[in-house]
Amino acid sequence: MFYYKVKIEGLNLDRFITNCVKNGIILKNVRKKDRKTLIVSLNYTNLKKLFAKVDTKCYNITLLKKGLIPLFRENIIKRCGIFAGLTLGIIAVLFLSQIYWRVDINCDNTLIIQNMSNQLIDAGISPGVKISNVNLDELEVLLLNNNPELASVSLHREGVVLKVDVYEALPKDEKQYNLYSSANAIITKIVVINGQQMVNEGDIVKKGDLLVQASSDGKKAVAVIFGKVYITADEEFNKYTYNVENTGEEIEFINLEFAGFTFGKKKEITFKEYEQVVTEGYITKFLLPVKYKKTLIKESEINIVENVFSDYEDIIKQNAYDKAFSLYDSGKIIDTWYNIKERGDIITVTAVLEIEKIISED
Amino acid sequence: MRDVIQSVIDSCDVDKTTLSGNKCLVLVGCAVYLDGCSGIITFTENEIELKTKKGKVFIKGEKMYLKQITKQDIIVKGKINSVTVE
Repeated sequence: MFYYKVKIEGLNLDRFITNCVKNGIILKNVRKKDRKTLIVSLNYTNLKKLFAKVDTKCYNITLLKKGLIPLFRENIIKRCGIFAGLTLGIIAVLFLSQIYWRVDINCDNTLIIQNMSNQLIDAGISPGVKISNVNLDELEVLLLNNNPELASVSLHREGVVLKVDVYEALPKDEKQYNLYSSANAIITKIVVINGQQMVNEGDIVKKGDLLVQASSDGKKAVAVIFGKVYITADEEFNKYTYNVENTGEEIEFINLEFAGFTFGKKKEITFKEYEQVVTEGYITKFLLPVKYKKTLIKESEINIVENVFSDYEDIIKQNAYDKAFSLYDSGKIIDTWYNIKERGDIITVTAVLEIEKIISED
Repeated sequence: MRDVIQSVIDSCDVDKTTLSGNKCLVLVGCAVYLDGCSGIITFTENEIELKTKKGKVFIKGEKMYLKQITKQDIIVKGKINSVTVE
């Protein structure tokens, strides 16, 4: 791998070897093919010494094989231009990737883009600035402080591009001065003092819907709007009850366990329904403790008793009402009713509270 | 290399001899290490004649070659039959 293999042809090869050794050349794997031929391995440094110090005129020296590393070294020297170019290219790419080449500002408003661009230039951020010199968090805070009218500014890096996402805040006047619905409701009464009424009595509105818009002169909308709000809560009940009755004999099995083996009669349950009573313990009568397991099987029958809902109806309704009432916060309870639904064994009781309250809010 | 061989010479029980004041390690049938070799007189596959400061060393064998040769020492490999000193 590291050595050149060289063939030396000539007379008096023994003297040649002695000359090499005297000149400090280390020879390896010296083999004599015949009287006039010698095969020698030597590294690059010794090969250079051979040509420099030893009189090689009388010998015919042929290079048979090049080691991988000498070959690689020669190739590098031969193609040094390409290697230098490649190395320079890599260095250039590494260097250039440390610089922001573009600053993209994303916003719908062109005025804001222009303003933001100027502010970034003032802060020293322009194409060509070193990436490590830009602290995105600090820059974000600076831009937000300089532009209080913006909702948020987000800066992030995508390769060599600095992306600035600008979000405009909604006009405060418009949002603060209107009245919106605070709940899903049916409007029952509207008293508008200032502003433009956007809904009518009997309309169904959802939470967040605009109820009264502020007037164009910039005055705040003032109104009181009542609406019917419904609070519901469910309570579930199993309409069947089960009675277990002993109907037959009681059978007892005893199993003894010792050293992992079980002795005793196997249980064979043939009853339709049964109840098991198992007791375990150790018998100390024996020389060695033997574990015993006593199983008592009681033959029994389960009777289903139906229509017990009527017995518990009031309690279930009260529970559903309590659940619904826990969600109630303000307003006047106008009415209360219950919906009863049956699905298989389960009966669901829904308590509905109808409440009238003010639903307009800023 | 010299140190390694020196340590081998010092520690192992192989046939070790001092030939005319030159340290010599003979691994019979395998290799010969000679310290203090100053030149080669004859070199063939079956016979090698080495010059030392205090005389000549004859190595006889088959398919022999010089594994390494430097100013101070020499390693001969191959089937070694005998090593004699004149």
